[in-house]
Formats: sequence, C-alpha cells, structure tokens
Amino acid sequence: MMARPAVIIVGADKGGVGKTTVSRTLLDYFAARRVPVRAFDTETPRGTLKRFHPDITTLVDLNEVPDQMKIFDTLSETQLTVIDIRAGLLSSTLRSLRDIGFIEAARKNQVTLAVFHILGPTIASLDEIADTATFLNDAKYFLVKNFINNTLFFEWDQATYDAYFRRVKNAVEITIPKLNEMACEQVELASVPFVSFIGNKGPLGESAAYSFVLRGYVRHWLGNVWGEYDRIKLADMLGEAEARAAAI
Amino acid sequence: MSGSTHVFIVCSPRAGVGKTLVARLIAEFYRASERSVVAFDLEPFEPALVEFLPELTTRVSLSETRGQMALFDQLIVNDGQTKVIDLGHLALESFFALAADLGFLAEAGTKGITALVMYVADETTIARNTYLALRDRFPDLGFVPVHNDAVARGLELRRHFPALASGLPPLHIPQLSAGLRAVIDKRPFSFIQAQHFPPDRLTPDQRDEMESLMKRVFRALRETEIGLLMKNLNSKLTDKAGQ
Repeated sequence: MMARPAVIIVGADKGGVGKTTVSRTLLDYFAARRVPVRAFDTETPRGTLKRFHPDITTLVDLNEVPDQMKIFDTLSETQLTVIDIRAGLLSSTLRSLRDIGFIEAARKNQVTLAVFHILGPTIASLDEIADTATFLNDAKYFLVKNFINNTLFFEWDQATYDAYFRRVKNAVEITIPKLNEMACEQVELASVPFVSFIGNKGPLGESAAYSFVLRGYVRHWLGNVWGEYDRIKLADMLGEAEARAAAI
Repeated sequence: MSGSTHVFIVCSPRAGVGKTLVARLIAEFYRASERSVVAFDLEPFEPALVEFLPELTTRVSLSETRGQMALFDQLIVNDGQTKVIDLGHLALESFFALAADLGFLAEAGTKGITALVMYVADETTIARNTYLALRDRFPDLGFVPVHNDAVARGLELRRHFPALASGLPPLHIPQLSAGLRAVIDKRPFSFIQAQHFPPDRLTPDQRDEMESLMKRVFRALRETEIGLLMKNLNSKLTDKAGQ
C-alpha cells in the first residue's frame, strides 16, 4: 500500500474551549515519538499556537486560496500536518476541504484525515456535531471533552449528549482531564511547549526556574492526556507517516 | 556539586504517637551541630512543631496549590539544608499521593537529595499495613522505624516493622518521666536552648534525663547519617563500576 500523508484538524465552533491546548498536547505527543510534524495556526494575526511552538508553526488564513495551497499542496508522507482551526470555522473549513476534493481523497485512502472536534459547554455545541459529522463519514472523527480549565464544563446532561453522540457513525470520544489552575497559568506565562515546561526549559532550551510542584502537575496531566491518545491508537492510525520517519 | 541534602519525613497514620517529638529531636540534632535545618509542620488542625520551634518551622497546608509549592519546591532544592517534615496523620495520604504524582523521588534522586521516612511504629493494624503499603509503593525510599516506648514496646513490634536491607537502624525513644514531659511539652521549647540555659522548672534529675535522651537520640541519628553516607557512597561506586 502506498504511503499516505496525514492531516489532523483541531477545531471547535465556539471560542474559549481550549482548542489550542489540545493542539499543543498533540504537537508534544508526536515530538516525543519523533514523528516529524508541522503546524498551521489560523488565528491570524495573533497566533496562540505559534507563540508556544514558533519553530514548527506557520500562520495562515484559510479563507485565502494561496494559504490553502501552502497547506494542501505541500502535504508529504514524511511529515504530519496539524491544523488549528480558528473558532467558528470548523464547519466552513470542512466544507472547503470537501470542495477541493480532500475529503474524497481521504475516502480513497490517498490521505489520512483526522478531526478533533473540541466540544463546548453548551447544548449549541452539540448541534455542531451533527453539522460537521455530515462531512466526515470517511475521516477519523474524535469528539473531545475538554475539562482542562473548567470543572463546570458540561451543563448538558449525559442522556442528551449520548443521543447526539450516537448520531455520528464511528465517532470516538476523548476526555482531556482538568489541569491545576496555577500550573495552567504558569505554562501560559512561560509560553513554552508542555514538554519544555516539565523539563524546566525556557523558550530557547535554556534552563528555567519553574515550580517543581507545577511541573509535576503538568507532567501528570500530560501523561493522562497522552494516555488517551494511546488508547485511541492515534500513532498507529497515522502509522504510515511514523514508519517512514523511522526509516529515514 | 554539593553533597547530599537530607529530607526526613516523620510520619504515622495515627495521632498521638510522638511524631512531633521525633521531628523536634531531628531538627535539634542538626542545630546542635550548627548545621542548617528547616522544618515543615503538616498538621492540618493542630499545629505543634511550629509552636515548639517557631523560628525554623513553616506551617504548610497541602490542600492548596500554594501550600504544595511552599513544601515541595523547597524539598527539591539541594542546598545542603536539612529538611524535617512533621507529617500529621491526616496529611499522610495526600503527602505521599502528591509525592508520587509529582515524581518527587525521581527528581530528588537526580539532584542528590536523600529522603528518609521516619515511621513511628505502634501495635495497630493500620500502622503495620500502612508501613508495608508505603514500602511497596516507594521501593527506593529509605525507611527507619521509630520505636517510642511511650507508645509501644517489645520484640513482637520490631518484627512487624523490619528495618530495610540498607541496614539503617531503628530509632529508639525511651519512656520519659511525667515531670520531664511536662517541661518539654510546654511551647515553645528547644532542647538545645534548655541544655545551655536550663529553665528554672527543670529539676536536676529531669535535666539528666533530658541529657540522656538527647545523647541517645543524637547518637542514633549520627548512625543513621553514617548509614546514609555509606549507602550513597556504595551506589556511587556501583555507578562508577558500571561505567
């Protein structure tokens, strides 16, 4: 079988649900597994993801054709692509992907497409599931409950959620656990990847002086998050890309 | 690189077995030899150590992140300053759970910090089971059973709290007279200070008793220290041989 380029799309139709946090855990996850990865941040001009992972992140505007070309004309089998979609643009991005034939290519196994749909706290965010799912019959579709910075995250009840969840064929649920608030704040201030924070390293790899306790919290939390990625066999799913990286 | 920094964790799952007395004696042992020492009082409801030795003790609550930082961020610094923790029985589980989650022992090991659990033994099942459970959970951690005659005594007890193969001897606290107890339980109280400036209420007999207690405990702690030194030396030699 031919090797396939792989793309992970991380998005939500609402802002403030910790979407970029999830992208950051993914970039760390693949870096730790030595999978070459590049990231696109669509939060122009600010770019939260770029702030944490400046070396591998490019800012793009997905409404612009040249920027779409920058991403989709340069997909390679040796490098995984992670795209952090700006709040509110998940459905329209998937629509564009359909229009350029990318979803069709995923259906034909020419590319691997995975979508991480970060769920928000309101029932409205459940409606998005039905909305986006129509595009994704042949992609890996992950519904992510992100508890990272809010204990009262899910106002809707489990029965309602299950009813929505069942509508989507092949969707897989992922839970991102809560991270200690001070630890969360300190990583934000440090503006470094989670792995650097845990290793007590600054943005340039210099040694830093982060709290041991807060580093411990982040390490423990990130371990749980990666445990979720292991559980869904994320690395296997993108296995071709990984196998190629190992061969190089 | 400086030498090893020691962290003493004085604990028991039971109240009133003499943890604070043990913590006081360890802190005073280091003070007596003019070495730098700080202590942490982790009794959530009845702070004691901080009242006996206020100038070197910090009271810490593990239920808040700031409290956890005030403790563990200090414990992880290899500054040659001995740390003594009076771990209240109610804080025992949260302390060890945090230590495990934070990866305390691994980081301590890389920084040349040696943690030692001073476990006050008694005849209850919970004390025995907790001891064995902790040793299973933290196989790399040093354990020293503390036998406090005021709480329990006998060979049977020693059998239930075996010292580790590393050979660190148990610490023995003799039964104290009611009179001496009354004097040393009055807060604040420093053994070192009382030795140099005996308070009026201390009778000559009590003074002798106190001197003998200090002599005995300090000698045992010196042996513990030597035991730790030998252990570290041995592991360094093994590392070298392995290279």
